[in-house]
Amino acid sequence: MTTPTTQVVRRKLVAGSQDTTELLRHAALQAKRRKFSEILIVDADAHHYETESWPEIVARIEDPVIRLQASGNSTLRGTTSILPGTTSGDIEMSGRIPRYARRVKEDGNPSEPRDVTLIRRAMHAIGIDYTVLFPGPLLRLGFHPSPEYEVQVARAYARWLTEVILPADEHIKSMLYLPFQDPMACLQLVREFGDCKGVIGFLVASYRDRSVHDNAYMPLYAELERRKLPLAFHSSVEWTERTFAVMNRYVSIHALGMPFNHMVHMTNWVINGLPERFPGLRTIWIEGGLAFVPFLMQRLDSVYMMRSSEAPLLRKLPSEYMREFFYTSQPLEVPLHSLDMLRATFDMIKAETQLLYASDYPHWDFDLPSQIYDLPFLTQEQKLRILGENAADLFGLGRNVSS
Amino acid sequence: MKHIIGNVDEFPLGVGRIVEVAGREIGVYHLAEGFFAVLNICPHMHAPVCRGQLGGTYLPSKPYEMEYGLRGRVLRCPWHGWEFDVVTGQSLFGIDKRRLKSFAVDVVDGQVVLEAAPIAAAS
Repeated sequence: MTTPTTQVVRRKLVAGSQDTTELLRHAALQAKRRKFSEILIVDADAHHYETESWPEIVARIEDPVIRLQASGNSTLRGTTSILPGTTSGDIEMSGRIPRYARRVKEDGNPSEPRDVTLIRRAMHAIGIDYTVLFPGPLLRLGFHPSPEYEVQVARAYARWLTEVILPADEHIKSMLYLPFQDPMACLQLVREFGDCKGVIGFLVASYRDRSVHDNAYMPLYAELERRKLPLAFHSSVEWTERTFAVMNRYVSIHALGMPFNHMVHMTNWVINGLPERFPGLRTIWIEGGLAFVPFLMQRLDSVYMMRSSEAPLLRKLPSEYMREFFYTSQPLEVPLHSLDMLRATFDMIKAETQLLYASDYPHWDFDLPSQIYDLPFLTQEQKLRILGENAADLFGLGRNVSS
Repeated sequence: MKHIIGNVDEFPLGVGRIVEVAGREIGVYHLAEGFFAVLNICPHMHAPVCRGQLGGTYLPSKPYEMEYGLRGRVLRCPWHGWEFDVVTGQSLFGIDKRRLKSFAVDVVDGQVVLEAAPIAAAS
């Protein structure tokens, strides 16, 4: 015996459309059930796609020739050749993560910059009070062999972000991209933009064929330390690099490459004594996951103890310096069967004071705050620290919880 | 508890629809293998899994060959791409017990009938 149709709502799945609020409706339910509106949550790593506003950025490029080249008007396909093409693999899995392709069709709110609208929708759905915003395609700018291009576009992006996006909402912050191929230009960027509203640090995109301990970067580090601004490394990976070119799947290079490029810079940073030379300069290691950190701590400690003459500036073990770095939590490598390894990792990195929750929304492996909040081995106090208090202390953020 | 959720013509082959029944969102799929229904909650991070796309996946094959199979019955969660076989509800990476919650659905006299108990308590 069947019952008559009762209150059946049929929601048609509309192909090709996107509304971030609708897409993240279940995230909003999670936030409501866990009362995230009562908790300060700082998202230490979220992204926008600055190429959606590319003409506004191009208009701010200072060099007239590079501005023309960036506009794409003089090229065969009408697209700029300034941003290196991606060989970084099929992140969106050919559309199976549909929000990548559909994003460009999402409407903003005419009264504010479109990026701000989209970011706010995600923040409100997830329960985020402050977002630390990073670019997308621009992170690959360092692959362009001409430092001049990197510098010009980095400066134009900094101008656009500080003129248009950051002033629009005090809950949106950023660490500005540094054109690392040109050390003096990096220093100049810090001097020009370090005081801008919403700028809370500066960023190096992590795939680099530059040595962080190169003497040329010391004035940059000194300036950052003087200003009490942290230096962040945002992980990235390049498939054509020789080490990774032997791998035939993106899953492989993503798994290894993201932490690996952090490890190269982190090893250089520690072994060359940079924490001793710049004790006030805090570093943040973004989007490498956490599982690599205990590995590197153990590995560097054991080798250092046998060859300490090669690292004469160190006054304590490498792992002790690493325990003073900051790490973002995404992508959290949650083990399948037992949380013991994760708990040990949290202990080793001193997560209670050093771990910063990050979503990495809208990327394909984003984490909701529940990834931290639901961990059974954390006390409520520890959860609050990781979800927002650590970041609020590090970045000097106000504690107002926006509902 | 059985619910009539519509005419069979409203569920064309190869298409999924999300229905709200008994306080739940349930994705109903008309596949070549028949009608199937799964809860619109991904076991990974509770995403609206039924908003994802249906497709196939790569099956085990010889080196340098690629064999596409399970056509039209693999649901890919739109948040992180987790893959589930709609027919069984199982996640495709087999070793994990996480799966979609399935509901019985059938066609009776041209009507699509879904069996779903009401939720025990408000959550």
